[in-house]
Amino acid sequence: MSGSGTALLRARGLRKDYGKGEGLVRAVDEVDLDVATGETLAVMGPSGCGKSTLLHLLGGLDRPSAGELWLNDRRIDRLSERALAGLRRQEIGFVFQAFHLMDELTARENIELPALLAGRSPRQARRKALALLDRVGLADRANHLPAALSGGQRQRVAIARALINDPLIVLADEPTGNLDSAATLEVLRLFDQLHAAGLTLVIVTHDERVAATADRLVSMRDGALVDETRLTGGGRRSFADLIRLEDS
Amino acid sequence: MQQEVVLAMLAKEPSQGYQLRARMNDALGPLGEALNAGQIYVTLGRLEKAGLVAVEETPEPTGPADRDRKVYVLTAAGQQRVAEWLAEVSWPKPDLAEFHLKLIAAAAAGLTDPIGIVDAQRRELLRRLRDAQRAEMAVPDGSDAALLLEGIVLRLQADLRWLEACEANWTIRRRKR
Repeated sequence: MSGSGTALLRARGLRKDYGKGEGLVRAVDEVDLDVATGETLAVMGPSGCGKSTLLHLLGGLDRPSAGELWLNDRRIDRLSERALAGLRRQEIGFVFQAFHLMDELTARENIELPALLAGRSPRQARRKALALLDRVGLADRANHLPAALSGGQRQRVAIARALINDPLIVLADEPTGNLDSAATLEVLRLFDQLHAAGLTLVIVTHDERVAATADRLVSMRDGALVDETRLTGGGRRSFADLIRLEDS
Repeated sequence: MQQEVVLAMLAKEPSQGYQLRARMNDALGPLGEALNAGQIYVTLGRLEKAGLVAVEETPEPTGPADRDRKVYVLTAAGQQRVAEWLAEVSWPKPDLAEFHLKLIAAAAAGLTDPIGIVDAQRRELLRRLRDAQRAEMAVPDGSDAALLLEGIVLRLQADLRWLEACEANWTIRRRKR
């Protein structure tokens, strides 16, 4: 399943097995996937279909049992642990369902952390973090602890953190899974702005609202990609017939 | 447009056509663009003939068009009709049975794979959801239009979940065959 334009992220025959012999479970089964620069791709499927495992493979959080993975024309599935850790820090941004913010750090400090780990100066990290807080609409929450933020605000901080090292791609695992409808809209609005600014984004989700914001949607069943839908294009206001405005 | 909607919009105060249209547009947001400019005058004409609305003419147009000489007022019968309409309990019926029977007929006759039909339908609904969401993001939070769009989004979500159930069910049936 290929996207248009240059593939920033490319997977070929990607496979992940757990267990052995009789107990072997193929969590990801021969997945071919291209993600184009600037594209938002959603991966949808029921729980247990392997979509989170796939995202972990794509982000180098886990190693495939077989197959090849390329990021920006660089093969990454066989990198050393050290090189892979560097790649995850510099080139890939992660967003998780449960936010994974440090409770004892302020919003700004949480966002700064990956920059400091990547060797930026405290001053650079701080300047960048404040700019990102502004970008996600939380400039006035810089010194708040996560506990003092709403769910939607926490996820926006987590998204800012994912962006601090200017990654090539952001991978999000059920980013609205812990959010109510209003907070979901906050996050979708932010993704939409980032998409317009050229961000490449892969989102794993079972939330139809999130899937509907993507340019392209792939469905996953039992570890394999089974269906692809391009959502961009088509007529405007295609939902208008849901309200009856004509005299019947 | 349903005549009662126009009638009820007029209950606030005697109004001209373009004022009613502005009120409708505020309430509908981007969906109001689908309203034909002339439609409201057609409906007002019908209401006048039915004796539910009376017309007072002013000597000079007070609105943007020549026809905006007319000020529309509810008659007693019109007020009565508005009260009845507000008290009515009605709800648009989604026609799920037709789609359901389509799947059953397709499978029974071996004409088309029901899952293919479900997939096509899902694609269409996801596109609609995408459009509705974009509109929802574009209107101000807490506006009348945002509330309507939220309802449309929730309804599409419910339909998409049902399609998921359809797919799961027909996948199991296919394996059994």
